[in-house]
Amino acid sequence: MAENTKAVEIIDLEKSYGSLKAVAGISFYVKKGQIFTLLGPNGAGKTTTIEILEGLKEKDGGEIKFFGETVAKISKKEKEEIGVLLQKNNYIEKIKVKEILKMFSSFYKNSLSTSDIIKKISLEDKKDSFVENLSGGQQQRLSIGLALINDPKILYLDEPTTGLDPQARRKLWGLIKDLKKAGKTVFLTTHYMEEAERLSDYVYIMDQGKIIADGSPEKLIEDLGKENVIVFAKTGFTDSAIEELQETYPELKITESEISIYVKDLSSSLTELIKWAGEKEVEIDNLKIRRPNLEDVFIELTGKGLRD
Amino acid sequence: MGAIKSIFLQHLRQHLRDKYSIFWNLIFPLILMTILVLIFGGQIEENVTFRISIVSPEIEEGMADNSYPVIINTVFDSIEDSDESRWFKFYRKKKNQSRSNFLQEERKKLESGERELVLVVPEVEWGEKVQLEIYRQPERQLSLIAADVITSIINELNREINIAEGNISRDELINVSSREIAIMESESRSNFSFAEFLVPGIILFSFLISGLEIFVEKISSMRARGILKRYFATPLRAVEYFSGILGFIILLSSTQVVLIYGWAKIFFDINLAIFRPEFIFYMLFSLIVSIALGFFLLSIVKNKESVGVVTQAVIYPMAFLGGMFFEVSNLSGVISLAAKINPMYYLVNGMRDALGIYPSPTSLILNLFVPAIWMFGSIIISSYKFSWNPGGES
Amino acid sequence: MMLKQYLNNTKILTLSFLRNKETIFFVLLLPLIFMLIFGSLYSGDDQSQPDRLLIYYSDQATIEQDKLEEVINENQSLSFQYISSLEAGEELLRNYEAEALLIVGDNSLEFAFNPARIQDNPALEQQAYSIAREINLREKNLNEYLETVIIDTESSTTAPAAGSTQFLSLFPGLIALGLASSGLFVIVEVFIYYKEKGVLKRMAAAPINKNAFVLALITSRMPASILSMFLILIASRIVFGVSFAINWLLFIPYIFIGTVIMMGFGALITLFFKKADSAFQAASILLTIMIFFSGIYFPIEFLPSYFQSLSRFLPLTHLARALQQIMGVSQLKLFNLALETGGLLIVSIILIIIVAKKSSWTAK
Repeated sequence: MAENTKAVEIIDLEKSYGSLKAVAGISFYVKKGQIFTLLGPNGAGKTTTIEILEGLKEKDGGEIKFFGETVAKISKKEKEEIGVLLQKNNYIEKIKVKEILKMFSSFYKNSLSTSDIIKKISLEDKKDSFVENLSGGQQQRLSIGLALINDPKILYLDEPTTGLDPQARRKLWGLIKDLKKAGKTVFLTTHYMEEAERLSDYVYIMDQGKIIADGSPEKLIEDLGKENVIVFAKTGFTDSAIEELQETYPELKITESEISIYVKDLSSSLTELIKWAGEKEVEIDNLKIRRPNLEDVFIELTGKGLRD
Repeated sequence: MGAIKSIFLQHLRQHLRDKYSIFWNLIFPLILMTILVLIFGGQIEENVTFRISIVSPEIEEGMADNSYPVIINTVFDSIEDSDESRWFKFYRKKKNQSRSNFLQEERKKLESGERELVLVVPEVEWGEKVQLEIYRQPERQLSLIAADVITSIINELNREINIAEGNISRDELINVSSREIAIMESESRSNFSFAEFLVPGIILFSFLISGLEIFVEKISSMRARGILKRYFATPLRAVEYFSGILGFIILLSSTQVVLIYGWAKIFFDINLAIFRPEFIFYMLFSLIVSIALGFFLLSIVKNKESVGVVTQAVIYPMAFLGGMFFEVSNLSGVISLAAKINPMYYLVNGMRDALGIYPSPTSLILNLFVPAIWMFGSIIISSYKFSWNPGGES
Repeated sequence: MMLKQYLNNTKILTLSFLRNKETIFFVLLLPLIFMLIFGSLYSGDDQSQPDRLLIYYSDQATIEQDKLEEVINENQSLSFQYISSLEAGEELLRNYEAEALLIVGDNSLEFAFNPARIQDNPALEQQAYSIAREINLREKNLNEYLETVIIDTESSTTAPAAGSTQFLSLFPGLIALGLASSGLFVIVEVFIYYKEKGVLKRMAAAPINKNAFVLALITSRMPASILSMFLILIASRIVFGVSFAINWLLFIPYIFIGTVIMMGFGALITLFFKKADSAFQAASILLTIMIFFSGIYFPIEFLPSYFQSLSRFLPLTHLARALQQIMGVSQLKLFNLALETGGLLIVSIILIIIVAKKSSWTAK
C-alpha cells in the first residue's frame, strides 16, 4: 500500500499499566477517507490504543506514523488535525451549547464557524441551552460537533453510541456516515458488532491487548465459512441432550440462553435437526435462522461473546 | 415498623459514615460556642496582659520622695508587686539610654503592636500642674482599654494627692461603685454567666440546623435523584418514611444536646437544670418548628441547587438575628423587624426563661404564639404544596 | 493565539462561575447578610444613638441635681431620664429600655448594668467613672495635679468615619470574605472536580495552551470579587451611612491580589485532598474557621494567645487587615503591607503553579 494513502499507522504499539499489558504490540494502519473500527469487548485495550493516538497517553513502545510522519507522541501540532470524542464527555458547568463550541474553537488555529457546526449536528434550537440540560443523544451530538470544530483530517470516536437509545443511535450513525461522505477519516471503537458492521470499511478485532483478526466486515464473516446460523432457546435441553447434539454438530456455540449451530447447507441441516428432536422428544423453542455477523466471528475466534 | 426502622438506620448509617456531617452537626456547634464564650464571656482578664512602656525622667539619687516621678514610679512598682501584676507588664528604659531615644523606640513598638500603651511622665517640680501623655493605638481594642485603665489609675492618684495635700478628706469624696443587676428576680442565681446564656442558643442553633439543613438536604437530594420515587413505588407509605427520618433527627438532636451541655459543663463550669419540664417542652417545640420550617422550604423551593442556597440564606439571619448568640433586643430599624418576626427569637427567650438564666424580654404568650404561627403556617402551606417528588424529576 | 484562548477561556469560566447560584450566594449575598447582622449589632456603639441613662435619686442624695445634669449633658453620648423607684429602673434595664442605672446616694454614685449587654458594658462603665470624676472635681474643688492627655498614634492620614473601630473594620473584613469565597474554591473545582469528571481530559485532547487556561482561570474570578466589593461598599453607605477614605490606587490591585492569595490557599488544600467531595468540604470548613478567627466579626485580641497565633497563619486575617489599612480604617503601613502582601502573593502563585503542573489533565 502506498504510504500516502495511510492516515495513521502504528507498528508494534505497546502500553502497560504495572504488570498489566493493556496493548501488547499491535500494528495496523487506517486508510484515508475510510471508517476504521476497532472492535472488542470491554477491557480489550481499545480505549488505551485510541487515547495514545489522541495524545492523551504516551506509548511504552512501538512506532506511530501520523500522515506519513513518524512521531514520538501525538503533540500539539498533530492535535490541530485531530477531532476527538471521548468515551465520557463532561464539560464545564453552566455553559451554553454555542459558548462551549466557541471556547473549543479558540483552542485551534483553524476552526469552522460555530453556527455551521450547530446546523450540522442539528442543535439549532438548543444552541442557547445549558449543556447539562441536553438529552443523552443531544449531548453526544454536541460532542461530535466539538470534535469537528477544527475541521480535522481524522476523527477518533471512542464508543460514540454507548448508553444511547436506539433512535439516538441511528441518528448518530447517520452523522458518522455523513462524515465519511465529506471525506473524513474516522477511527471508531465499539463493542457493538452491529455498529461495526453497518459503518466500517475495515475492522480490527482486538482482545486482551492483541489484534486477533482484521478485514472488511463482509470478508471477516465470509472467512467464517458458514452461511447460516440456526439459533434456538436452550430451555428444555437437558445436559445429556446438549452433549448428544454436540456430537452431531461440533461447531455448536452455547450461550446462557441460546444454542447456535453454524451450517453451510441450511435446508438439509434444518431437516436433520428437527428429525433428531422428534426422535429424542426434545422441544425446540424460538427457532430462528439468520446470517452470521461479527459477533459470531468474535465467538468463533475467542469462544466468548463480545458482551460477556 | 420494620420499614420505619430501616429508614431510620439508613439515615443514621449514612450520617455516621460521612465525617463531614459529623463535623458540621456535632463538632461545629461546640467550636462556635467556645469562640463566643472566649470572646464575650467576660474572661478577657484571664487572657490579657497590657504591655505598657513608662517613659519617666531619670530618678536621681537625692531626688525628693514627693517628686512626681518618684510618686508615680512607686505606684507602678506597687502595682507590679500586687496581685494585679499579671494584668500588666511594664517596660522602662535602660540606665544608659536617653529618654528621647527610648520614647521613640517604644512608640514604634506601639505602632507595630508590641505595646498597648506608652505613658510619658514629664520632669517637673512639685506643685506644678503635670501633663502626663498617654500614647495609644486607637485601632486596637486592647490599647483603648489600657488607656482607660491607666487613666483611672491616674485619677485614683489625683485623689490620693488631694487627700495627702489636705484638700479633702477621704470621707468627703464621692464614693463610686458599680454592680450588675440581678436578672432573674426569683432565682438564687447570683452571677450572670455568658456560657449559661449561650447554651440554650447553641442548642437551638443545632436544632435549626437539624430541621432546616439536615432534614431539608436529605429530602431534597433523595428527591432530586429519584430515590424517593423509587421508595414510594414500594408499599412504603410517606408517613413511615417521615417517621424514620424523624427518628433519626430526634436521635441526632439528643446527641447534640448531650454534647453541648457536657462540653459547657466541663469547660465553662455551667450549672443548668436542662431536665426541667418547661425546658424539655421548649426543646421539643423548637425541633418541631424547625422541621415544619424545613417542610415549608421544601414546598416552595423545588430545585436541589436552590434548596441548598436558600437554606444557608435563611439559617444565618435566623440564628444571628434570633438572639441565639447575643441579645438583639436593642437592634433598631428594619433589622429589628427581622428579629421580631423571627420564631427563633421567641424560642430562645422562652428557653432561657425556662432555665432561669435570663428573663424573657418577650411575654410567655408571644414566646409560644409566634413560633406556633410559623409552625401552623408552614404545615398548612406544606400540605398544599409539598411533594415528595416534585415535577417528576428523574 | 494565546491571547485568543485566554480571552475565550476567561469568558467561559466567568460565565460558568457567575451563573452558579452558590456563587451568587456565597460571594455576593452572604457578605451582605452578615453586614446587616453585625453592622446592626456594632453600630449600637456609634454616636447615632445616645446611650440611655436612668437616674434614681435616693432620699439621702447629697449631690445636687443640676450639677449632675451639667456633667451628664456635657457628655453628648448620653441621654437621661429620672425614675421614681429602683425596681422600675432595674425592670427597664432588664427589658433593654435603658443602658445603665445611676443611683445617687449619700455622697455616693452607684452604677447598675444589665450583665447580658456584653457588647456595650465596658464602654458604659468607663463613662460612669468619668462622670463621677468630673463631679468630684467640680463639687469638691479638687486640684487636678496630674492631667492626662491622650495621644493617638499618628492615625491614618484620613480621619476614620463615625463609629467604633470594630464597627468600621467589619466592612473591610466582609470584602475580604467576599474575595475568599470567590477565590478559595476555584483550584479545587478545576483541578479536582473537573479532573474527576473528565472535563480536563477532553480539553487536553485539543491543542490547548495550559498557561493561557490557568491565567484565564485566575482572571475568571475577578468579576465576582469586584462585584462583591462594590456591593458591600454601596450597601454600607446606604444602610449604615458609612463611607471610607479608600486609597483606590492600592484598593483595586488588592482586590485582584487578595483573590489570588485565596486561590493559592485553595491550591494548598488540593495538595492534601484527592477527591472533589473531601476537598470542597475541607475548603468550606477552613473558610468557616477562618471567618471566626480572622477578626472579621469579633475582635481577635480578646482571644487567648494561642488562638491569636493561629489567626496569624490564616490568610483571611491578612486580607482583612490589609483592606482595613487600604480603606482608611486603620493606619496604613505601606512597607509592611507591601512585604506581607508580596510574600503571600508569591507563595500563592507558586502553589497555583505547582498544582497546575502537577495535576494530570489526562487521568480519569
